[in-house]
Amino acid sequence: MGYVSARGGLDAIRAAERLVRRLRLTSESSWLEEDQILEKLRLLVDRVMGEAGLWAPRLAAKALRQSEGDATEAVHLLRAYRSTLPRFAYSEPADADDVSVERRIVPAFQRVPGSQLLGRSVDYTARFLERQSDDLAREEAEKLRSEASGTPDDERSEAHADGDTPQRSPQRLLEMLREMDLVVDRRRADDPEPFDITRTPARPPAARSALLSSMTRADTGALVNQWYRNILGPDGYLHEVTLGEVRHGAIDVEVRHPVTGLPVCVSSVRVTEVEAIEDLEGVDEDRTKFDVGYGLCFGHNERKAIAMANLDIACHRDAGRTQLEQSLLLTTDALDSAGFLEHLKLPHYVTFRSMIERKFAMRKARNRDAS
Amino acid sequence: MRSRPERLVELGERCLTSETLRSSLVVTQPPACGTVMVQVREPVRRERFYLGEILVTRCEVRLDAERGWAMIDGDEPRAALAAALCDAVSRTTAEEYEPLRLAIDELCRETREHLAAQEQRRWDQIADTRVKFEEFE
Repeated sequence: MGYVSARGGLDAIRAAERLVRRLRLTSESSWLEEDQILEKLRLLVDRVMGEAGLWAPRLAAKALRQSEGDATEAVHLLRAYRSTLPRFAYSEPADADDVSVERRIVPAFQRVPGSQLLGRSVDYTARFLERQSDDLAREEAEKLRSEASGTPDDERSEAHADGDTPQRSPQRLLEMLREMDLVVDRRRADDPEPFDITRTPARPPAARSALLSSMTRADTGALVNQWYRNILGPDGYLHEVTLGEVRHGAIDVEVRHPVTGLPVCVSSVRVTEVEAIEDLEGVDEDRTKFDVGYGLCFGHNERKAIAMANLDIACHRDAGRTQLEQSLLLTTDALDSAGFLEHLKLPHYVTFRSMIERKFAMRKARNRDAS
Repeated sequence: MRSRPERLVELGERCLTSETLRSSLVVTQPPACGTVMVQVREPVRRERFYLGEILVTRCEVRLDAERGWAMIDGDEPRAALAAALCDAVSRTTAEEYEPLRLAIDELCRETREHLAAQEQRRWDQIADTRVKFEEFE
């Protein structure tokens, strides 16, 4: 129990754990398959992997099943497992320009290089809760399956019909803005080693690589909250936000072969990527140009990547003037915050008894003074 | 390394039917799970950062003088062993392994086709969602 001064209760603790396990495993409903979790709850699986900092879809599905759908608990399980694993290698640097898109929108600009693809999204439609019975939903699923398998290839896509195949890694808006000389050029000439937050806790002032890594595995809700507070809240840092790229796609992970020395693709991971364009208007800034913030995270999690991109540029412009960087580095990790919060449930008898004793002592002192 | 695990295992088992191969094979690093830290070069400052880790299975074998190495996505010990074996076989020159080398080439071709078909299916699904929003005039 860490620093909590209590012991005993072992039988009850074991019984409580058994109760959780027994009720989970013996519930009346049919067994929840990993594939069901992976396919039907894909966004939750993605979120858990992102917050755990470990891309392992099957393990994330197992963790979600074990945690009975508690995402933070699933993150805890994944991180605990990851801590038992050796790290075999660092991948070759994957270039974000090589993300092969499944969805790509550019809210800032209508005519961009490459196509805009809405992909798998309900962003533009009203939300209605589907209340039909399971039987009807199953019927619909069967119908859709048979339609998909019966559609001839040449009828599947209007885009293919007009001979204009969408590019898989289209040029990004940032490049276009650079060509128009509309963006501050912050490209580095050197190539510093990235900061590894899994080995050393990042503390301000931190390298940008530490900040990006911290945000990419931060709790999604915490990051959205930080962004909202930064935009509208007491930080009073109201600024013009326009999104450049919002992409969801896959990127190859390559490792160098120890015998041939050549890069070998060992996996392909899905990521969400966002560019946030900032209108510079500070007295010490070049007001004729924009600046850009960047967000990238595992899986399909647009809320997180958007918040990250905006906070990246906000942090750069803030330059340590406020506590933004400290908040991002120290308060947005799901396991840190939830772990500290949940330890409050453990027995604090000694702590609280000492507080009571202090109250009595103060009361006694006050009564003595009064008399 | 991107082949389907069941196809790799199938080919690995075929390799192991060779008596000569079995007698020359040493598993120098049994299949084990670990992670690879993914580095990404981002576009704004062109600097690298760590995105997170991925789960992999790694294995290494020796076949006569040839080292075979494999790293496979996920927890796939049998496929990793099979891939390391195929990697070693692919570097041999002995005539008796020629059929296996051809089978490995065939699996590589099949994998390339499988990945390309997968990619095409994905594009077929999303192609209709291509959009050109219009501005109000």
